[in-house]
Amino acid sequence: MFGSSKKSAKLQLRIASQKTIRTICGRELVEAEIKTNKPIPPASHGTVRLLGKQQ
Amino acid sequence: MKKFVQAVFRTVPGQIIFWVIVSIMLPAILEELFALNDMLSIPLKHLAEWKADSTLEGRLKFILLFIVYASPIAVIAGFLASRRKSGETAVPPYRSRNNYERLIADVKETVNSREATNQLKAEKINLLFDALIEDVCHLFQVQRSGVRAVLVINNRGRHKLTSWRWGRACTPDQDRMDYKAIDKFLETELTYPTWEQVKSHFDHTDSDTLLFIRNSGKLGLGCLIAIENSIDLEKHMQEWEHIVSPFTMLGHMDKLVRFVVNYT
Repeated sequence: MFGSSKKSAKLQLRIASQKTIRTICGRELVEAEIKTNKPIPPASHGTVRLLGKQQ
Repeated sequence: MKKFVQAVFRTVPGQIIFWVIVSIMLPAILEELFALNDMLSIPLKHLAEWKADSTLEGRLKFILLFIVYASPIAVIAGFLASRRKSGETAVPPYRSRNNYERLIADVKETVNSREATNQLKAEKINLLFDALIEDVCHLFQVQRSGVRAVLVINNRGRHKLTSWRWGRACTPDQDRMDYKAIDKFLETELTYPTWEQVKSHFDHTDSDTLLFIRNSGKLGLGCLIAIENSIDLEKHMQEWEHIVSPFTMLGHMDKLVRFVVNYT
């Protein structure tokens, strides 16, 4: 039971702060600090095609 | 029989005799083919002379005549359709004009160099990501103004990331949707997932197609490409795989990730 509730906690990224900066080569960028509610899982090489509404 | 075939086809004199006979006989046979005209006409002659008096016979005759007339039309139509289909599939696959291995090697060399200025390093990185966006535009036939790129860099520990966005302008709401999309992509635990028909998930998003690229293993550097329109991704999936392949290696270059964060 504990395992399943842990698994269902979805990864969420949240903007902590944001600022617009101009690089030395003149490009305007928006830099943000992002916080996550849990560690980001590692990935393996491959792809998946998500389509339309997701859970 | 086997020895005879071997003697004819596996020896030079045998092959010469065979081709001499063929070259004499074949024109002669073709010349005499008109003799078959009468024989070939027999079924058609019978069909033409058939007095189909009853309804059943009339229908049967119509079916036979229909087969006679429709067969060559079907053959010609089939031939033209196969030609058209092969013409469509013969479109050459999109190949990037950018040599990514070279661009990445340049970035790596410049970032690692103590003599290179920050400006030079920044230009090399910009060149790399500009090339990627250019390829996205060419491959999927979209306008550059309809594409936004968001880099996410894992440099602040387990629960913190740094993100950069450039390209198509967006509102704070769109920003949040981009990060929610990145959540989804990171949860796939794959290096180049894609998402189509995004507008049916996020009602107010300005992007209908999202592409994501990240390194394998622990996240070093990921890149979200948000495209305004829907695109035919299935048709170009192999070409896209070819383009993203070197980008999935970028996150493994620690110095590059550090520099991308610090060069501003």
